[in-house]
Amino acid sequence: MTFFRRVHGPAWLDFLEFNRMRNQMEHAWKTLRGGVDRIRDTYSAGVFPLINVSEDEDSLTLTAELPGVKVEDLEITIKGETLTLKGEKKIPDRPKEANFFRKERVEGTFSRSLTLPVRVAIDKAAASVKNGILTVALPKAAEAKAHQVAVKSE
Amino acid sequence: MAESEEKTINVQDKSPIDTGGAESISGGQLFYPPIDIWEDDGGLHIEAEMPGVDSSGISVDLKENTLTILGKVPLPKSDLKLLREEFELGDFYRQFTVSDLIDQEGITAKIKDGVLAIYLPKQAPAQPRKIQVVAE
Repeated sequence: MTFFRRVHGPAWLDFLEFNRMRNQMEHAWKTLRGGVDRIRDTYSAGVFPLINVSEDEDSLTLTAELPGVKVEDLEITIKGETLTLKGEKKIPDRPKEANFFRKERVEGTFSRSLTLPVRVAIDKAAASVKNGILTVALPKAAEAKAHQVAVKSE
Repeated sequence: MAESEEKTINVQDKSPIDTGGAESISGGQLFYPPIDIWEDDGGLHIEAEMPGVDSSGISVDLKENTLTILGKVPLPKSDLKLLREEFELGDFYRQFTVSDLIDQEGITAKIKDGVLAIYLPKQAPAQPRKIQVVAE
């Protein structure tokens, strides 16, 4: 910071600081406008990859965006109510003489675990990767499904 | 030892596009796909990560030196209830200005596993021409 102060002078630094504050205010305003639901439902666990979980009567569905990741580089394990997703995202080697203008794609290993909201039938779980999206289908365990009790009139 | 040198991926949120107040009719969010652009002897390579986009949903257009990439992401089944939403779905969009030195007819694009790869070959350099002088 001291370095910048010397080079650009305090006025310029103040301007940068002001801009940053304004962006934060704008972000807060947008979040508020988006409604309380937005704050509650959209959050990040801070671990790669980001995961969405949806549910219907019989199953849970997990999705994660994993562009360029091959099925053989993924490992999914379920133990009790904990699902662990491990893998490696690889980018094919580029020629040595390649001269980069942009480098935004990232590669590396990842591992994340999450607790499932209900027990699932592990033996019926299935996972697939299509167009860079991993989908894990987890049928709910029999005891986790809502049971409807038939009421008979007498 | 090699194990500890492996790079772990840090989480990255998707980059939504600020359309400056203009709303899309379909109500979907637009995102900037992360890209790599590099040059080799033959030309330019652009790679964009667009998970959920297949060959029917992608369009790559070149108009007056502007290369536009648009990837449509199909909406999920609506009867599912979202329990946890860490990322939003939306289409991918990005635009680049392409130099005159590109052979525009030779551009190719392919998409695999949600990664779009575009190749923009350089124009062949003008061949030196030798003009024959005929004696009369």
